[in-house]
Amino acid sequence: MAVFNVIAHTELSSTAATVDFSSIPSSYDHLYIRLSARSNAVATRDTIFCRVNNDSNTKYSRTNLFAGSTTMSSYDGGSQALWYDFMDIPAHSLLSDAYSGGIIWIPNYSNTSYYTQALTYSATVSDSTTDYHWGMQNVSALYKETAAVSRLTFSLQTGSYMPYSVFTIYGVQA
Amino acid sequence: MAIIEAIATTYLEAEASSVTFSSIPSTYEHLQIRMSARNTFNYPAGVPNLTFNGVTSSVYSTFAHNANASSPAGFRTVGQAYIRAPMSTTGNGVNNYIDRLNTGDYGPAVIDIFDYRNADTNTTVMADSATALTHTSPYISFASGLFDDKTVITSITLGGGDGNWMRGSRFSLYGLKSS
Repeated sequence: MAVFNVIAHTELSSTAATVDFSSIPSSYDHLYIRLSARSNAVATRDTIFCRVNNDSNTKYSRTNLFAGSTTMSSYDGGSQALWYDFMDIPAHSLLSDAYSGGIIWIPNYSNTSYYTQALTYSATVSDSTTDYHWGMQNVSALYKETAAVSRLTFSLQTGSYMPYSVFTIYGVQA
Repeated sequence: MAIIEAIATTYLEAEASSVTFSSIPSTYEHLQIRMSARNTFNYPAGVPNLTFNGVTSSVYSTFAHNANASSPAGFRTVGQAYIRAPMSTTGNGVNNYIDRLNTGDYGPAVIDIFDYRNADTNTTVMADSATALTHTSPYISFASGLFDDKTVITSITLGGGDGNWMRGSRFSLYGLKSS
């Protein structure tokens, strides 16, 4: 059996407020998600939010490592209703046609004995050196729930995903 | 059917100023380069040059956060002739440094190239890299780059920058499918 398997793939042909992967099977060991996305928010950057299993209880926390200037910063948040500031993507006011890259690892997602964790890597790229017109972000995230992950919903802090944004979710076999 | 396929691998038997993957098929969703390399840089760490489709005009940007033992910092540059990725590559470190690296030191890097066949968007990369740990102050970098051009990527060149890639360096290009 193949180690990497495509569970679902979405390429947007029109704007969308959310990208929802439901009915994620529990037959793999890890989830691996790759995306290339852009927001229509009238801003330079937007941030992706992620909710697990449509659960809006305050079970989410994360720690962020971020660079949007020559000074790096870190911050965190706990007891939240979803994963805020999950990833960083370019928005309407930045260079047109610039889409971000992003990678998410959710290890051991189908295990029902332990909480779910995720690691993300994302970047806002542009043709500007102005502070915060670009951004690099690594996030460690916790979903304090032992249920297997069967649904992931990606929204945005401000805008909607623009056409040509692509999301692929892979199931990884150990 | 395999989702990740090896497109090509280059193993250097001799020094080379650059490594190029050409005739890349457009049958994948994303590309990934995994490399273990060392460069003739006259210092312990250096930055190679990443370009696409042979384009060397000022259409590339690089953003990163880097750190060694004590100095994490953000970095950005735009309007360049190449992407500075991978940001940290092991150099030979001779002459100017007494803490010359061991001859067996090679640095790892993974470069992700997203949605490379989409002619409606620019191309974005992310690159994780590090220099050899036997040096007294190794570097680690997380970099991103923009190719401000919507042309489908058909070739990738990793230039050696101020030096040449050394014998024993290895570069593998993979394609990731989405169906």
